[in-house]
Amino acid sequence: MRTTPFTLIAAAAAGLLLVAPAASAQSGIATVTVVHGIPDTVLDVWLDGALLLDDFEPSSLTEPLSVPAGDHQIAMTAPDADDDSDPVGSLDVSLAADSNVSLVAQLTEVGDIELVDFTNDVSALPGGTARVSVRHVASVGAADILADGEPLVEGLEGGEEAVAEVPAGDHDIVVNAAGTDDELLALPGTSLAEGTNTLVFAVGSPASGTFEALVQTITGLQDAPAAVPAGNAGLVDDGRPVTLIVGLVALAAMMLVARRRLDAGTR
Amino acid sequence: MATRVLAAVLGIAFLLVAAVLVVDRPVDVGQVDLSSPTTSGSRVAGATPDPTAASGPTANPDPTATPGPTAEPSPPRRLATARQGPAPTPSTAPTAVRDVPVHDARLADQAPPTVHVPDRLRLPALDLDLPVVAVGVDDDGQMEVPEDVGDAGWYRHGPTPGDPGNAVIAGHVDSRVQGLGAFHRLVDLQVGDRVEVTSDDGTTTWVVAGRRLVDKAALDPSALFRRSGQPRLVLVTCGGDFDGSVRSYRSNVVVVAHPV
Repeated sequence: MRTTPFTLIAAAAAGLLLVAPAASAQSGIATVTVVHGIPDTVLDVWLDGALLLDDFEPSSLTEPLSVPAGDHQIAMTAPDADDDSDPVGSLDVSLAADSNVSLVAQLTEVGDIELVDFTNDVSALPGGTARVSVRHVASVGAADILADGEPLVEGLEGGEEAVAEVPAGDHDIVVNAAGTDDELLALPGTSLAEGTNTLVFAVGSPASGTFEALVQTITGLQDAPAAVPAGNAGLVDDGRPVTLIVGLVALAAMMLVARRRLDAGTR
Repeated sequence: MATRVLAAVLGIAFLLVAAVLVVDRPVDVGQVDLSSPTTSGSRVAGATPDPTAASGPTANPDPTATPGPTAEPSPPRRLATARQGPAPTPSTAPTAVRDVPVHDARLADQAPPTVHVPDRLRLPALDLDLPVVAVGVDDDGQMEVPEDVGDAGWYRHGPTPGDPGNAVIAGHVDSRVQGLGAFHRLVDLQVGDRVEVTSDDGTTTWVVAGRRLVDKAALDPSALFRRSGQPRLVLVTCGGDFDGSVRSYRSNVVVVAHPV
């Protein structure tokens, strides 16, 4: 780590504190994860003019960050830049309260550096199922996505995603060049856990041998099973003995009454 | 006269039998607290900054994992800095305003967690020793229960016994084809009875804290299948009144056990 004058830390902190409330016209918090999908390139990442990520390594991601909802500016610079005045890429993003967003540093099809945002689907999943979101953020043309041999989406362009809900478990995901059997990336036996949204980012460039998959996993989306059906014969029906008892008692009472009347009649 | 006394005695005897039958079968005993007092089992996506809610998939990077399809990346290059002229003096650059944990995101480096699937359930008080199989969710969105009424089913999407939350094991009370199931005696478990669950990494021991008959309409699945909070073992079967029209019991028998 660099040694930094205290004043600079204070200034940067003040910058964030001042900017963040001003930018959030709406109240609430958004959850933001930053994903680095540009091969071989270390970056600094800035949020609203303050340094957020120092020496952000390629093929890594942050833990989910809480950011006030509202309008924000994200910028990427070369490492050790003094500020974000000369970014290699930047993005103005409006974060809705309670939204879950991934910001991805990516290469465009022609190899330019770009920041893109994806809103992550964190809606509930039925018990036993998983969600997968395959995102094209690589320096390559349109792609077909296959899941377990079946086309999930065809002609996915850079910056787009394909989302599917599948039974939880291991699934084979394949990325082909659009309209061909030219396999760009094969991810056999990808574990998609129940109640998660597994975000698969196809990043890098096949031409330079840097094409790979990065993953972010959002957990805790599961609904519980609706019920536990564990019997269908009625062999231990609680209602049956009660019925029997009521019946027997009624029978005894009737016998008693009948006997009394009989006794009265014969007397 | 003698017959009247006989009838009266008979009637009283029936009443006594009825009373004994009702009193001798307490429906609920002990404490059945499915939800956790510390943490709720509700979903946590999005709103909260809890890093455990949606953490990056880096919990257990397997050092033995083979590298991805691409070769180990060469040391990352550094972009030219924004400033002109000779190499910058690093001491003037600002420092990040907050410490943000960063993880490796390569899919090839992720190792799914090892799950120790329970394979045996022992209830010494009932002299029961059952095979346990892993079960999921059926097409109707209900928990699967093993076909064999002699087996118990562990809900494989939930916690394993001993992990935070409710490890749920269910078994048939009966079946139209196979007759009574092993779990039909679950209603006989008493507070303090021991329960043992074995998996390939050992045995966990539990003690029954309570048993309850829960109306199925009132069952809260998110509490029953809680994923966080205190570790509990929850045994479930069916019971109560039987609705012949839909061939289903109206209630679940739920036994909650605490770790010893």
